[in-house]
Amino acid sequence: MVRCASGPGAVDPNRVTGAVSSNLVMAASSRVMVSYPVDREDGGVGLEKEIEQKEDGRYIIYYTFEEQEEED
Amino acid sequence: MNQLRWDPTLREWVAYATHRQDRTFLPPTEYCPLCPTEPGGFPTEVPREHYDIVVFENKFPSFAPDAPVPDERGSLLTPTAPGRGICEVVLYSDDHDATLATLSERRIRNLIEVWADRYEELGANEVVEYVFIFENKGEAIGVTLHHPHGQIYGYPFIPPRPAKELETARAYRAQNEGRCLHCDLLSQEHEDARRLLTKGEHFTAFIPFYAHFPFEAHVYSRRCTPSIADLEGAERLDLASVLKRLLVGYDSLFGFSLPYMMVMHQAPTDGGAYDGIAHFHIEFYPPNRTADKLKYLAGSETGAGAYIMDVLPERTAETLRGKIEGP
Repeated sequence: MVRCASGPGAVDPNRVTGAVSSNLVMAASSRVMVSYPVDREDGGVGLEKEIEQKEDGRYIIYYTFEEQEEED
Repeated sequence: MNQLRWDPTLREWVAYATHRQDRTFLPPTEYCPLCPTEPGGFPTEVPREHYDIVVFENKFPSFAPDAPVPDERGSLLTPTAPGRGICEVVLYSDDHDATLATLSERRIRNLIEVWADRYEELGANEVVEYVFIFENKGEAIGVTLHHPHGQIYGYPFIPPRPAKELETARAYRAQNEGRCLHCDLLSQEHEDARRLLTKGEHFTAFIPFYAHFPFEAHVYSRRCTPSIADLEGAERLDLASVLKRLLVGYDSLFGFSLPYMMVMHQAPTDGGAYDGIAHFHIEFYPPNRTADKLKYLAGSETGAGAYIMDVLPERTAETLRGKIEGP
């Protein structure tokens, strides 16, 4: 066990368990893990968020916006 | 290998990620790993022909979700810990030649939505104590890929600079009848006006009285809000507008796309109370002091932590303000 002696308690190895991104990775059994619209009522924009898993296990998130851009 | 080693002299962690030595370095445009994948072409990080904005886990992360307990155990004085955390890459556009400055205000606003979403999602993870959104732009900063992108680090600790800023703001609040340090700084800049760069309805850009780089700019939310995720729709729109004006001004300064570091300071996600202490703002640090001279972090800055500046913020603000269009 790693002992934290002189105050670096912000990182407690005993509290760090498993994959940090488990909320994303554990849902990776299907190709598209999440797809949902986010509509803000206060003037924000709607977006679609798709999460996929890459071949090497990393996640990739596609954000697609409802409004088409006039120009970039 | 991702591990943390404790520096007891400065009371801060140093992260080691030795695999990053092998990361992609300035590839030719046709082999850019951040461009969309063309049919039958070189497979990039993004297996689609087009995209708006994309976020993915960094292939060469400084912190990794599954970093093991280090073989190197350290000592009671110098302990080690797993370098666990999350490192993401944010692709601003599928246009290889774009920069944040050339994006439309609408796309920048969309990017703000993505940044806010990442802050909330990464911040909800129990291991992530600080969500740090940043961009390194230009080879002068050490960028290895030119495609327009930023990064997000989900640190397992509050990094030293934001920690010091928060500690100072907390002390200031305690000593000044609950006042926010950043709100007072912003009021002072508004009142003085000599260092203001551009103002929107909800955000102000200025060169701080105590700038550490000649053209360092801070973009403050006028409302005392702890994080980007707390911004309302109108504030996000205004932030996009102010950022656009500032960035176009930066590129007009010397007639080329200005390198910079862009960082966001906001509330940690460690479960602590930061209302009135963390005040969301963005800081830009361009390294150029002239078109062909850089401000280096040399002996005094690196070894003593004392910045030596050879131009006053009032002077650089006047110059930069002259390059910015709009209010």
